Amino acid sequence: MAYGKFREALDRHRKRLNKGKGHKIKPADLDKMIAKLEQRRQDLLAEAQAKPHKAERITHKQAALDEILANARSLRARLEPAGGNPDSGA
Amino acid sequence: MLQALRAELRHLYENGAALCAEAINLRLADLVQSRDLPLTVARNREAIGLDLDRRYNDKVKALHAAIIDFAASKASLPLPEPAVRRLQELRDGANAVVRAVKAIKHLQRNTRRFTERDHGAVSTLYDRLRTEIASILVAIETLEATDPAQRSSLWIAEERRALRKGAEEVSASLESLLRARRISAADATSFLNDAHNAQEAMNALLDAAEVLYRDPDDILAEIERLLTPEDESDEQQAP
Repeated sequence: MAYGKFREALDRHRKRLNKGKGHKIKPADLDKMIAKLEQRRQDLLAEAQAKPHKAERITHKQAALDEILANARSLRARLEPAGGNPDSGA
Repeated sequence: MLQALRAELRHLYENGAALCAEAINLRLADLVQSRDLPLTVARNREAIGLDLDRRYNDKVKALHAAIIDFAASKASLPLPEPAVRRLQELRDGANAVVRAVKAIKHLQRNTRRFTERDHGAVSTLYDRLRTEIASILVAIETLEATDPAQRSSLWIAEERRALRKGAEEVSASLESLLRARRISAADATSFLNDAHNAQEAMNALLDAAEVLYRDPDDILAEIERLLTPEDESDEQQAP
């Protein structure tokens, strides 16, 4: 997702939190998701090598996954800035 | 309550997916077992003899109505906000299955016409559409077979991206066939309409899958919603 769209989604999430809706996301929750996404990336790389005839389709999938992973890492960095409070959440 | 509703949505999805495959002369079991989808699609051209309206009434419509009724009856209860949200998602997922079947119905006639007999270049284009639909159905079955701890509804965003790129490639192929006069304008128009219906069906199948494979943990589900790309998903519409 384009970074601007992700920012908008994050703003909506924060507004929902302010209304007492939704869940506060903590660094450990995001670490779990990032680990899943990284594993998925490895799986797609392995699939592209094992099934060259599907390489083009898998390349498109990887591009989408990379954007999601970048947004997840960006959110992770906001939750716990270097030297910041590990209990902070979004 | 939500787990039972999710199980019913999966049941509805299975009925809808089987119907979508058979409407274009494919069988879901063959697709799942295939090691070469384009080849499997090319080899399966014979009419399956599906009575789509009857199957829709028997296997989709009644179950969809039951899910909508159940969701409506629970919506009036004082549920926590995450449960209300999930209830709405599951109801939207059921609507998406119906949308998929209705979109497939629109493209069934031409797809069968151009695949049961070889019409040259236009048949090749219709085979590409059938292969795209088959890929989506297989990807969703792969998610179903994956350990819930390892999967994420975010994988659906990957399929949407591959789908969009595939549509761009098919569009480019169509233009070059038209320029080379290897396809008539009338056939190209039919194909464009059917490609649109196919996109609608595939996006609706992915909408349903996104709901089905949402993480059962409320917080991870919240992260999935936050990270789901908005620019690649169609807006949910009531059928």
